Amino acid sequence: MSLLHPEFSTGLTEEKQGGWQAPESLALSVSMLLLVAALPPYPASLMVGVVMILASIVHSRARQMGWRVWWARFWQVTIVPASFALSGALAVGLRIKLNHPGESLAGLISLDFRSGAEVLLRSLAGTASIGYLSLSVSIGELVVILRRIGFPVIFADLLVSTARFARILFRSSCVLIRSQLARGGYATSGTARRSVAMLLTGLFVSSIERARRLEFGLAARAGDGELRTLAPDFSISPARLMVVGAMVATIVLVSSWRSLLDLLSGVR
Amino acid sequence: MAVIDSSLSLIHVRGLTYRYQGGIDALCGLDLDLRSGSRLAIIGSNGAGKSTLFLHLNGTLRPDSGTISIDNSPADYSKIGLRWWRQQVGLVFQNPEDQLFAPTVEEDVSFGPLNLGLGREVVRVRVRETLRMLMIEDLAERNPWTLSHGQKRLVAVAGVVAMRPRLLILDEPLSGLDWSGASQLMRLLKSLELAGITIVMATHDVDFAATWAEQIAIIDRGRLLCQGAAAEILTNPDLLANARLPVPLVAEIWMRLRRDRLIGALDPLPSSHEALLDRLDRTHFRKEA
Repeated sequence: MSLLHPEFSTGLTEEKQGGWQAPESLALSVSMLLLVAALPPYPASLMVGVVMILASIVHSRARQMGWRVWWARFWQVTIVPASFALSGALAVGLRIKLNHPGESLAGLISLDFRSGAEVLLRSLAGTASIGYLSLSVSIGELVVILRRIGFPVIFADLLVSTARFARILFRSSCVLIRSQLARGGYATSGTARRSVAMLLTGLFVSSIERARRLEFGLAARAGDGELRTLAPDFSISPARLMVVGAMVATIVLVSSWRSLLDLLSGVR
Repeated sequence: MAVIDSSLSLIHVRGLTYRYQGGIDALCGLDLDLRSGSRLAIIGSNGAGKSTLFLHLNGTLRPDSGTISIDNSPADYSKIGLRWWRQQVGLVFQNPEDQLFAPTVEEDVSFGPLNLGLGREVVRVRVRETLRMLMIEDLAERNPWTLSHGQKRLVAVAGVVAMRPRLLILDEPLSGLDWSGASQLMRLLKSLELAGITIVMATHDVDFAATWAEQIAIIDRGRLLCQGAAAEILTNPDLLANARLPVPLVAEIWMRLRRDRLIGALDPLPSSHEALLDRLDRTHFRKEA
């Protein structure tokens, strides 16, 4: 979610006044994810990937923003899931076994490039959809939409709190790492190991303390556990939803044209 | 020392004690009176118990013993009682980040009023009014985490002011603010006072307390050392030394001038260094004439 990019989500709020609203972006992203899961990966996943990257470019106004800045942001939100996708695809495509003593250390049992490529294609298309969602819908908007469609309040509040703490932990860890670096904390592998251990301990303790202080802060404003806030109003455009529908229909038609042709020839 | 007329009090605190789980005694039988319409600065060194006291003053913490009464009625810790109490007494924390959680300023400010059970339209209007009053309307759509420390402080104040409290308590409000941020906050507090909100703040900055406060309460090691008129307390070096606090610069110069008979014994303590300089200018001109 855009919690990773505070300045970007701010800019988007201003840009969004005339652009796609959060529920529309969510509808596009979710429907594309469903297509990735339901249709054969080629050409559906390929098309979804291209559509989602183009949508991210258009939504973020990459041209005005600068291509490098856009790419840095897109990369930042997609690199982790993309890495998982790659490692997952490798695990499916290549099967490795450990050999007995006296033989070479390891050997390939089988190569299944087709399955690996399919997994990779599906995963990358899904990652592109998530990337688009992250850049177009803020965590607050997502929570509002989830609440409106009947998502349990406790989970929605948990999502808000998690987003807040993720940001705090990220900032705290940056500060702590800088402070450790300034004192030679990562000069050798030994000091680096020690520094990382101390960093994790420090973050754990500080997160508990911050959670306690937030609890006080919310209680002082008559909070009773539920995070009630004014929700933004979304004006959903039927035209944009039709665009989403048209995209879905096109991808479905293109990816199942062979089956359709078979069906039609069978009828004849 | 001036004796406060208790009948004018908004909050009475008597014999408040509180011990944290680690066994640290934060408050040890503390007494305090908060009067409506008076600027009170609670001063004390770090760890004196100011923040813990504030958490008690709007019911966030419950004392181990002692009583708190609001408008001469004992504090009600029921759900409804606490909601009313927190509407009456607003608390702004030392670190504004302890209060902010929502993705936009507008949503964050709406949190308190919505908890009071107000309707969404009423809250929307109130949030807009509050942001206008604090002159931060332009931040409404911004993410609080992207703001400067001074802006975060204003948003934290807005989140409490939107609940329309009678008493606004600020814990070390100037910490981390530069001169312009501090000036902006002070102007804002003045406008809140004009709107009828009583302001109480904690500080360890005696120079600031001398400039701002009408009443001073000194807290040390969880106890109230004294409470009274600022001019009396801030010109009492022994009292301040007991609380490990310095004498404010204005008070120190003023006492020296009085000792050297450069000003009259009955001259009141100037409220700021500007007022002191003005006073000195007038004395100088009078002598020259």
